Amino acid sequence: MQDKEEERGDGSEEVDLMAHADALYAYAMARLRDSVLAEEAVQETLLAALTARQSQSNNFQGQSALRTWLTGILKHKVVDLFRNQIHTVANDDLQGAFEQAQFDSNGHWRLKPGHWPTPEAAVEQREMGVALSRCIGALANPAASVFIFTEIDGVPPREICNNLGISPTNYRVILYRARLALRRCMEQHGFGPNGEL
Amino acid sequence: MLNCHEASQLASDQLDERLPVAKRLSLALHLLLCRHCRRFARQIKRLRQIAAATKIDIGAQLSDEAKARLRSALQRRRPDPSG
Repeated sequence: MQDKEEERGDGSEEVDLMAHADALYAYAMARLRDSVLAEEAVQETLLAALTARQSQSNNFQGQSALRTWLTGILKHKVVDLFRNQIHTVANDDLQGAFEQAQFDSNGHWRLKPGHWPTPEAAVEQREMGVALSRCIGALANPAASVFIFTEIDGVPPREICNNLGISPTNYRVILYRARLALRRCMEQHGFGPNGEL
Repeated sequence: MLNCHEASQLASDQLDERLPVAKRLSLALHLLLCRHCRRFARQIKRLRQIAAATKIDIGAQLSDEAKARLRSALQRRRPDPSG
């Protein structure tokens, strides 16, 4: 009901920015896994953007340029919030137990990794992408975020350690557990020994 | 001689950093002899490729209430139109 009013003029900045709120929230949720923190990150981003646009009269060529700019701001907010969160997440034990369960007492695989056929068609590639998306969604933090920062955002390991305040050893263990879990999850989604692509 | 647990951790490390030569050699030897760890090493590389090529969407959406909160936060910040 307020939308009409906003479109008339002085509210157009908000309408512009709100158009990106859902995408920004999805980005933040994928990394923070906490709806309160994710909303906080989006709000801080939109407010910072509003302030910046008012003072610098930024002109963006289009919505995609605006999205890129907003995501850049959000990225930093997410890292800040995640840094505070990472030391309180209590699922390290859970993921440690998952790691232990993958191997027997001699350190041999309990469930041996299967053969993954190389996807030929674009459709198969996309299917693997959808499955990976789901598996990342099912992964808990800090494994999920560390995997996303490393493999999707392409942040260098040293930078991730600095940003999050974790040791290189801790980083390696978290990422290893993420990969173990994702590999297993992909096989449960039918990529692997008993499934077909 | 590495076991699979140790070898798979090194295979993961190797994707992100250059390992010292001793570790590199013992990993290479293990991979030469162990098909399962070879598969693991290939799979985590594949995860990297898929991740880079995919737009990850875990299906999170803002609730209407959250949108309303964001909207009003933005409106509060808007400077007085008359000034």
